[in-house]
Amino acid sequence: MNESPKKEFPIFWGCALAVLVVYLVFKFAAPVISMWIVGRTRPLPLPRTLMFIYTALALLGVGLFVTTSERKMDAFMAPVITFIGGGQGGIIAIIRMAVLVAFPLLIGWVTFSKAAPAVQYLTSIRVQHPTLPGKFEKLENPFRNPDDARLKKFAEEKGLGNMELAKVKEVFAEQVLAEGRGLFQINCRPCHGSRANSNGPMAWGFRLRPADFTDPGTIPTVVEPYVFWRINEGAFGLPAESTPWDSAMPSWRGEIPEENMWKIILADYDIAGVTPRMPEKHHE
Amino acid sequence: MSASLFIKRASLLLLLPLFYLSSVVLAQESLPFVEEAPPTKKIERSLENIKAGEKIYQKRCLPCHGVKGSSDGPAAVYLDPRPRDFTRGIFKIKTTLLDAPPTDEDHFRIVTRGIPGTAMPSWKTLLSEDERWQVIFYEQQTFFPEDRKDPSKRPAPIVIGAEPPMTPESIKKGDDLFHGKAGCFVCHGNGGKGDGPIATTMRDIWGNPQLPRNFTKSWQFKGGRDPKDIYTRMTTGIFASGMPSFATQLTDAERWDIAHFVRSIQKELKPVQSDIKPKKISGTISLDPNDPLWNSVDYADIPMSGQVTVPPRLQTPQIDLMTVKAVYNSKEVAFLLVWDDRRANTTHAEPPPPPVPGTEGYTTYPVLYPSENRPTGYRDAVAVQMAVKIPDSPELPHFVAGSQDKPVNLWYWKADLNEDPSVKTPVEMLISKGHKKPPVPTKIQNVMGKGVFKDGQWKAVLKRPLVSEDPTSITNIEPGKAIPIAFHAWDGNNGEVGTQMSISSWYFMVIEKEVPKEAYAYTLGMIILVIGLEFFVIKKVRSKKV
Ligand code: HEC
Ligand code: HEC
Ligand code: HEC
Repeated sequence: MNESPKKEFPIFWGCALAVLVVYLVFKFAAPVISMWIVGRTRPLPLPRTLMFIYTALALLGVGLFVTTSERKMDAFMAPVITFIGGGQGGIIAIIRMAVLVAFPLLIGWVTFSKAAPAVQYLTSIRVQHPTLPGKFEKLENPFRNPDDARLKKFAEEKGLGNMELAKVKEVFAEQVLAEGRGLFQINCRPCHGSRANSNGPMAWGFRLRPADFTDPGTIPTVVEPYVFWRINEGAFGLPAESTPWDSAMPSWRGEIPEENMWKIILADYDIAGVTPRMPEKHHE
Repeated sequence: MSASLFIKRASLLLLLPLFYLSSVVLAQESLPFVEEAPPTKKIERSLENIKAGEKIYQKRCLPCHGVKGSSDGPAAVYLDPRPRDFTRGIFKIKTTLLDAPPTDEDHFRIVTRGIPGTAMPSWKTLLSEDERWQVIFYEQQTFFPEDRKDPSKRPAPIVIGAEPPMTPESIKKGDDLFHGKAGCFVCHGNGGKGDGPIATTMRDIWGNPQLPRNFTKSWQFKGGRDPKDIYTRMTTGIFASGMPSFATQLTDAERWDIAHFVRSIQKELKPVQSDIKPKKISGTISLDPNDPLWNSVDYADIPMSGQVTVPPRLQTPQIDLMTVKAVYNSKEVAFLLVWDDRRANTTHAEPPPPPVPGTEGYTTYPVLYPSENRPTGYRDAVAVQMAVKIPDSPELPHFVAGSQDKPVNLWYWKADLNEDPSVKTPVEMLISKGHKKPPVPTKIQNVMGKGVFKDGQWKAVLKRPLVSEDPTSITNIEPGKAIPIAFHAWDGNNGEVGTQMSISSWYFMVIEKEVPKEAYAYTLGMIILVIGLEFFVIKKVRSKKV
């Protein structure tokens, strides 16, 4: 019996496989993983440029690995040299011919697309949440934690004179929410949708979709005064990095009284079933 | 830190760029089609379930359908069609004849799917099946008339047999019936665009204006676009809307034939993928919208929404799609714009000044009821909007009418001028510097145009020279540049005027630059070089092997 040395996996094919695996992971697994991380309902495909960078990194890694020793280099190059040299028959000969023809054509195509005039697109990556202007920072929603004075006044107006304050608070909250829901359905529904999920009947024509409030990346990651600012100034208050020119979001200042804006804010969190981010405690 | 948390954090870092791009991904999300979902099981009509339904109703349905269930919610007066008044127990989309109450399953289906083209949303993802049953039981128990509450006392649904195959013969027969014996064209129009002779005079049982369906817009079918749905609507009729039942007037087979015909004239949407790329032609560009020149030009569908960003707003637009073709030659660029509109409105009366925000009685959207107050008497119109200056940074003018420092042009075609033989062109070239001031004409007027109206559809050609004689106020259309372009449209019959219009987002128009001769030479040279290199390497490899 012949004791043959343990057969090594051919290094060239090992490398090719590694690059392929990396590619497949970013092409198919990453969208699913990112969907799981951001909590969306559908996979998020990786943008082309990222795909390119990751694959290029994998190729670079392979290059580094192969060039660590002369032996590896030779083992890596061997199948390439046999292939280019020819002499293998059958299907391999056909593939070789195809590669030899395709390669110059590919280079030709790349040259042509570089030499032919390209259209200049000046697009920018959109920042959904620019910094909140300072004067809005410290505002608070007067309806989220109403003070006793407001509650007492409310109880008086509604003739709830002898009701416990805790109970009045509940009635008050329910009333404010009902008003907020109505105002939301009147003013915001055409775009943001009656379920606050960006599916309003007017959303269909807008390429920059109205924000989907059920998406954890929108109003759940901001504090209430942030939403107050957006309702006040809409598209027109956004800085350039947030592409105001594409946004259909109205500026409601002067059209919706501020009190009603705060009620709408309560309602849009409620309808979407999410909560606002809590403001960080201010230092004394 | 636990391992899984660490993995999550690490992968987050890797995917960070994704967050920035997620809004871009979102922007490509689906068009509003809803799929079918029959209930898997039904829960009991118990007091607890009705009680549970009340909570859901108050939170989700009340703002539209109202406390009394009679379309008395705060949002109701802004919606067209108005939310359903449940107090008569009459539904539109159902499987029972005429004014008979719906079955529970009909009720379930419509709450699940919603009603496309109206404010009634689909509740499929937000409410569980049980919750949908609960709110349905609540609605029926609380608002339906006494004699319609008990499901066992309601009439049985129609029986729908198996659908015969949709063959060309069947479609042809349906076509003949549609335009003949069945008389569908009286309301739905010759081309099925909902523009029949009596189309604009109809009222629903609540006294509100009611338009017949435009069958070519597959996305507007309230009860589904498939032959089975069409067959069902035709058989039961839509009593509330004045759409008759054809159960006795037409045989079963005839109804299937018509359903096949109606299915066959539905248009498939082709939303524009990236840019509008005018096609190069060599000859002159005729102003006739029916010129055969346009037949070979590819089209792009541009979805349009009501302009609801700035007041005065319009959330009930009639024009939800603009189909665009574009060509150019060495001197000019031209657009063919095609859109559906039930009536041509070719006269115009100036609108009264718009209500001022903050004043007594001001509303953010127009109040639509009583519907007699809705304005009419305006012209139909369409406009192509372009940035005056081709931007040299990613910053564009705002898509609603531009701004003071970033003005836009409007090529404003007006149907009344189109009919007026004394004007040189029905298209005005305007410059707009923001929504607060109306657009004004530019000094040079260089757009020609012509529109024709037939069977519920306008077609208009708008054409101008590529080179602007006044680049400070009119876009200079340069090849190889991405030019921001958007579209506006007005249906005069629907009271659309000024900023109350249909509007699209920004797109880009690109006229391709001609490829210079050198590019071909470089390419050829490169290919020859690489082939030479290949021969050299092969030779080298072979000689080493030996
Ligand atoms: C004309 C359609 C339209 C209407 C009406 C509208 N919005 Fe918006 N809204 C948008 C669009 C488009 C965006 C996304 C672009 C942006 O951030 O400006 C948006 C974004 C927002 C955001 C930012 C969310 C985030 O996380 O960045 C908030 C908050 C918001 N809208 C609240 C409202 C409220 C409250 C109303 C009703 C009073 C309303 N919107 C009405 C179109 C609209
Ligand atoms: C944003 C407003 C709005 C909300 C919220 C809303 N609806 Fe509607 N609904 C409408 C409109 C508008 C119509 C009438 C459409 C038509 O006539 O074509 C309608 C019609 C209906 C119909 C009648 C269908 C038919 O065949 O005639 C039912 C049933 C219904 N809604 C149930 C509900 C339920 C249940 C809820 C809450 C879970 C709800 N709606 C929430 C606006 C709304
Ligand atoms: C008297 C006028 C009238 C006639 C005749 C008429 N319809 Fe209609 N039809 C209407 C109206 C109005 C509507 C819109 C109902 C609504 O939106 O609530 C409608 C709606 C429909 C729909 C709507 C489906 C949906 O899901 O939105 C179908 C299908 C339909 N008609 C088919 C027909 C066919 C087929 C015929 C001929 C056999 C016909 N109609 C004859 C008035 C008419």
